[in-house]
Amino acid sequence: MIKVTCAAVVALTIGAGLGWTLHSPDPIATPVAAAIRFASPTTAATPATSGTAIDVGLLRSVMREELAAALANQRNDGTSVGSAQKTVPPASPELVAQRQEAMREIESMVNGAEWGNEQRLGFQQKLALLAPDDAQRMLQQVVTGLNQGTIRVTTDGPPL
Amino acid sequence: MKKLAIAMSLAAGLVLQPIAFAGTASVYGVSVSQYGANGPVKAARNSSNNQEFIGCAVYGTVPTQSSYTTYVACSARDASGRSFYCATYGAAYQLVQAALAVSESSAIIINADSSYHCTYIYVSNYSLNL
Repeated sequence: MIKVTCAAVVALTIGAGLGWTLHSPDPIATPVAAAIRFASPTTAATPATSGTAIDVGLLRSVMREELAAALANQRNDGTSVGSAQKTVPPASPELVAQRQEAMREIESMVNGAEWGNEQRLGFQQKLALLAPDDAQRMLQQVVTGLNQGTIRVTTDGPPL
Repeated sequence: MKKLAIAMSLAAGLVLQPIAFAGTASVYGVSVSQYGANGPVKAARNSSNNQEFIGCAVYGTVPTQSSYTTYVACSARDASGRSFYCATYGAAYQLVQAALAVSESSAIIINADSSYHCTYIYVSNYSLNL
């Protein structure tokens, strides 16, 4: 009986010590770390007032701030969605040949002075092959030609 | 007598039909100028002429063959057949978002610079455009 009592007292002491250790403030004082505390599953959703639960409110506000900052950086740096410039390896000889061919075909469309459904479709497909600078230049030529009437539109709908 | 009742019901249905679509509705069509255009999408589609249209397209590629690219293009034609086109390569996020917001309930205002780059796309989605 005495042995059982001693074991219980020892277990209680160890448990209390561990609990106090986990309860102590996190030495790494980041906002997220400060927001998160160990908690038992039953108290996880409870707003933290004692430090034994996740501080949901603080965690949410920290996440909101982080996300807002990331979005603001993405939107205000003047870069476009499409120009999220991923490093592209140098063009292979095959790709260079494809680009040259695509360029010739688009120039032929522009010089052909008529812009029908076939040209519209062909242009969209060939444009993807061009280097960005060339693609931009050809798009500019087409839209200028369409507006100035040097390219006659015969598409069933919009030409671009 | 029965036939008369059926005929009168049909006539009443026809008379009351516009009431089913009551509400403020957009009455103007597509308007085109040198560097811009505006108008409601659905009114253009339902216009009695076979000329009017207005809308925007967004194009995008993945870098399998090139780098990431996108462009936004908008087109419009008024009732007289006058057209306006603009396109912006590597368009800004805001321009892409505006172009993607276009739907059948949209009224659009498009502006371009002197090189016909789309510089401004305003999209309003309201019931009166339906």
